[in-house]
Amino acid sequence: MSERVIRILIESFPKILLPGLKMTIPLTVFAFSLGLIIAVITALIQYYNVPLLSRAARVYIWIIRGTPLLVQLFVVFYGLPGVGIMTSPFPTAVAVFAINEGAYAAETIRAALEAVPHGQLEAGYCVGMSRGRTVRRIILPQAFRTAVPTLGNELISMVKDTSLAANITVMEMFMTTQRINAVYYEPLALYLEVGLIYLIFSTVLSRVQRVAEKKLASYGRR
Amino acid sequence: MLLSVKNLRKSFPETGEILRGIDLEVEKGEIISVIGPSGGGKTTLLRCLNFLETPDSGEMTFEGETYNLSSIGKKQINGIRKRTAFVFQNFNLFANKTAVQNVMEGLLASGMGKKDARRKAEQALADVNLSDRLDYYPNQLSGGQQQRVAIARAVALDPDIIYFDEPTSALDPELTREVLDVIAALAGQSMTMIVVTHELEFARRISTKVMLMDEGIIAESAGAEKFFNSPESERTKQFLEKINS
Repeated sequence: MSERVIRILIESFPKILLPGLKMTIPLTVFAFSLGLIIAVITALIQYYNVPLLSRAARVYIWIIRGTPLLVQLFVVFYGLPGVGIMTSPFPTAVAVFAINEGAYAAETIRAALEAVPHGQLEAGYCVGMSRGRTVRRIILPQAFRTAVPTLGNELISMVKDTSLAANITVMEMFMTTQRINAVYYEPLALYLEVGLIYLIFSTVLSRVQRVAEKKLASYGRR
Repeated sequence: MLLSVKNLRKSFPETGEILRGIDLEVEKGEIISVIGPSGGGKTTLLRCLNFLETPDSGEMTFEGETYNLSSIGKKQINGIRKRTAFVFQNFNLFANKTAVQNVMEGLLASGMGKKDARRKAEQALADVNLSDRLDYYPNQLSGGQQQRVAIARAVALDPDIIYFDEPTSALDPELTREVLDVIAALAGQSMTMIVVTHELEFARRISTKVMLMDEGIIAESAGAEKFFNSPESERTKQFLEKINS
């Protein structure tokens, strides 16, 4: 590797990392949190089998899971202005990623809810708890534990997927790298470098996931 | 009369009619054991009494109020459930709660403050000899201990009647004793209860009344001694013979 390339790599590292910290991570955190809220609501609608809404939830999941994330980003960012709805890059990315994550996580959480034994609900009734109270205090917490490994994987996927936001002009890590490359033209070195930073992010998250899973694995099991 | 049921019927699409007109009367302080062959409807009867299954038809009078079982509403069901308690065959302790939290849940739901609920739960667990297991999760407890927590959870609610659904059937023989002892102690305190059980000796020892259920009806209902010594129905005689042979 030439001295020039090494110098470029060293100089560009903080320039790429900074948008990683300022854009990629906030984008992931906001979108994932919002996505989880959407997912819990969607999953509960199905768990309770709410008429109409339950069908709407199915349609939502069907459409979102059946179309590419990139297409969803383009429809909202480039498509909606055509019908008079103006959007700005970062909020659009948060919204689209959240809606996307919501559909996937809804399925994860619904399955986890259904995996909680029915006897837990019956026990709640028998000590005088309402269904809502039992779901909130007994069923949901248990479902979350079941869902944690899968949700963790989805979170890691999302960190990587945020690079797609470059396509709608969000100045995150990948787009920043493209800009730097446009100046120096060292694609192999620079794209490997940004890949490495994504790898670091994912690795940290995997570690956190493993620790969380161990702690949550099973109530009290030692 | 604490509880009476008239002509209770229940059928399931897969199995047909499981309860074919049950009449039942329970006085305050009575301890009723329900025995009989598997599939005879014992568990279904108990589950109908607490509306874990919805009865198809019949009439229930509970503490002076009469309900038509085919049209009873959610509110009425909740009202009845608040004054009854249920102990399951497989315990059904809340898996995400410790022993003491399991007992507290129902108390908190009834509006009791946290401190009072905690105190009462600790007392209830002390009564089943589990003071040293307050902060254990269900999966850290043996089957017998779990069932004792479940009994504490039921008793802490101060119910007017407790339904026991084969409380020792999921337990190893050496763990059965500790659970039966706890139930016998409750019987000694005149807690009203209906116990579905396969433990005939136990039923004989604690019950004021024993019933044989078979094919969806109550084939015999009599005082414990009479039931075992001089049963009237052929069905009971056969059943006892089979068990004793």
